[in-house]
Amino acid sequence: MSGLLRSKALIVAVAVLALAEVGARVVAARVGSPVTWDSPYTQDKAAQILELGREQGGADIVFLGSSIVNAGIEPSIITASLPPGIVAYNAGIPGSSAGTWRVWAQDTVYRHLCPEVVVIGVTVRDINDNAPGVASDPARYLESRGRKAFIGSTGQVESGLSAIESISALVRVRGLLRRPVDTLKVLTGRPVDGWRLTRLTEFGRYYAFDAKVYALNDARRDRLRTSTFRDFSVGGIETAAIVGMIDDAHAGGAIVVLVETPVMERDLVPLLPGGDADLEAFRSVLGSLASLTDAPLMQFPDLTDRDELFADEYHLNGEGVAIVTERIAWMLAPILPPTGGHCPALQSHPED
Amino acid sequence: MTFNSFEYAVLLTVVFALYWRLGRRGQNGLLLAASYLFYGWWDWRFLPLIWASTAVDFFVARAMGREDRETRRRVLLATSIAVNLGVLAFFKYFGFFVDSAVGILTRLGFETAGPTLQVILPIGISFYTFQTLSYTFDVYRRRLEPSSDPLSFAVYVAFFPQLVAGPIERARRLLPQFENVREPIDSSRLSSGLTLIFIGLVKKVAIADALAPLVEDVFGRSASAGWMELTAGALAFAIQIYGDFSGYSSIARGSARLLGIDLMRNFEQPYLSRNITDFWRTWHISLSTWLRDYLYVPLGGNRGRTVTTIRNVMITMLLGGLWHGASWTFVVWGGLHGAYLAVHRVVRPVRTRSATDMIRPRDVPAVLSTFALVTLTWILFRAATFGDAVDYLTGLFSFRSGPLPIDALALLLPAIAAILVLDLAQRASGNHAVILSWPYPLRGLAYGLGAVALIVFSGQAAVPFLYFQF
Repeated sequence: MSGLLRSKALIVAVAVLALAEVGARVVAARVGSPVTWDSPYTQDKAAQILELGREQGGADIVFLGSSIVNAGIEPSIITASLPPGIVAYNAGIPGSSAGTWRVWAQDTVYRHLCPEVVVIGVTVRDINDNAPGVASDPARYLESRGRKAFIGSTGQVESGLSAIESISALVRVRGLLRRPVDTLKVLTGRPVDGWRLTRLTEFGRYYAFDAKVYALNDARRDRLRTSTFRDFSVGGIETAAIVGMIDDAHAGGAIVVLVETPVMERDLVPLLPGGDADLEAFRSVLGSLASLTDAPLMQFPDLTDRDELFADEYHLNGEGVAIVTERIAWMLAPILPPTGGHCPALQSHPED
Repeated sequence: MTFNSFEYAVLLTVVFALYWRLGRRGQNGLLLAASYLFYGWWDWRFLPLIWASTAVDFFVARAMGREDRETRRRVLLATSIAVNLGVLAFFKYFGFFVDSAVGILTRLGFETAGPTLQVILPIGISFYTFQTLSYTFDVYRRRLEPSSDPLSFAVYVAFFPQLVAGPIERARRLLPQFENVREPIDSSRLSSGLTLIFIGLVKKVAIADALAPLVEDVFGRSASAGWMELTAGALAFAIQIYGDFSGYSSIARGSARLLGIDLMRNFEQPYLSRNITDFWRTWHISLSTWLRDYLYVPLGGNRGRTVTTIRNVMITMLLGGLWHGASWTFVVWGGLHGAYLAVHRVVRPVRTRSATDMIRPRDVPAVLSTFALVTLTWILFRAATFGDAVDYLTGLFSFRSGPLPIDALALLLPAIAAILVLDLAQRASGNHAVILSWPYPLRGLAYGLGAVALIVFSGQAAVPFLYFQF
């Protein structure tokens, strides 16, 4: 009798699972491929970098940094200002920290694009050693399944999970199902989050961010004050990560240019716990970093009080992007070597 | 190796497959090897600490058993206490005491720098230390004969299902189970063991871990989040810590049951408590009863005047707070609970009902009040610093403006509902594996929904069991 009851309960449980799978398939039909990297941005750009490497053999100029680089530098303006044939790519990752930039650059940019010039854009937002995620973000990136597949180090567990995902929509879209409100939005045809409002251009830039996501408001200020800039400290692991990035690029024969992208100082400085002193500390560290690595440092002191160029405290708007990018192009023109074949052969990965 | 890892599933399966083919000594040998493997998986360098604790308490208790002179027995007991608490004090409280001493000296005007020594906390040290201490205490009090079987005793100290986060078992209950032949496993024990593991996994993965990012986010923004977010964050932490720890205990009990060992219940639906005294009779029972038997009662318990009783309660709860972690926030958390217990002791009516009696509709206001008090006090437990806790409580009680956290509520409300349904069912039946007694459509629904929740919420960034840090 108990065996019969057990088997009946099992049938009900399987029916519940089947029903959930049907529901997940309805959701899955309305969303794209699941995010297997640490973020949709790394996932999208890695695919694009792979394609760029295959089709054009790489890129001449690559931009690295956070959302400030992604939103603030437009490669099409660079290529229009430089001799024909120059390939420029914006590999900036929104929401990332310097520790992630370094491994991201090793995995994708240096390996598949073999750039001749690497431009690293940094602001006071990027190298606070105590900012949230500084310790965990690089680990999350390194452990992501998409990244492991990209560099060819997928283990048996990841392979098994991929196989299950190909069969079950419930497993495939569970990342979305964990957010019931977003799931409801998907089912009612509304966009889920910021990245879906944007479009990734062929030059690697999500260009709609400045209008849709980056705007001045009190909630954002609070978040910056209490989270991003909390316990502000520079000169530690984030700075070391940038030094490592520069050394890696130099080892691959690239020229590295450091750019301190402009910030709206009047709005930003009051959000720093130490105010002007923190900004000066950041600039001092950046200067030392440039000297230490022999990387030219480009700054924009004349733009920091021109509020009309900014979408928020440190993201440029369209006008700001045009001005900053044109100046970077002007600065790069004399140092850019003649274009070559980029990646002669696929380089081995440091983990190989 | 955590209970919700692939490695643990493999370990338990392999041990289970071999275990029931062996005799008693073989079973104990297998359990000991598996337990040391389980512990060494985290950090093998700390295995010698367990070995030392095992050896010292085994031989001290043997010597105590042979000794009639009270003075010699006291010296032996002091040896065991010194070794166990010395190790605990060094690894867990060294930095805390040095920092506190430096802080006091600095305030008094002495410029000083304490010794700098980065000490790694061995996982589970607070649990197994208390467990072995209970053995020597009981032998000293002649409530237990010293064990003559070193293998059984070593398994008692290191038994992997409860090694790193309890329940803190008493030797009187657990040791005889290893010293005697186990009854063969039957389908009833098998299904109840598996059901306890299933319930524990759902509580841990689909409830506690699902709420972890929400808690992390709100407590990280305690100075700026609105009062509705702060309320959601505090409720989420109350549910997270309960789901996490009771989930762990459930998996521990289920795993042990598969191996023919019965572990004590560590939780009895604490959030259904009608008052703070009932809460402490149903929350982390193995610790609260340990503190009662080996600290509160020896201090005099409630045998003296009310003032003495209150003093004993406060000492017990302050040390109970300190047991959780080397931080003043834990001490104050314990002190607050001590104060609640003291007040309740003074004002409470004559006790007529057990802490585990089913609640009635008229109990609901008392249950909600107790839950609110406990949840508010959890803020101190979770906050990284006093400053953060003050920010949190200020934002909450000043009704700081902020958005309605719809995303958070969409996770929190189902989690509360799931915990409430399970707790009410367990309380009504008195059975933690209550699902087994449900009619098959309901049982199938519970298994199905639990499996869906496990699939959806597994595969996230691993969240360690909260009590591992203690």
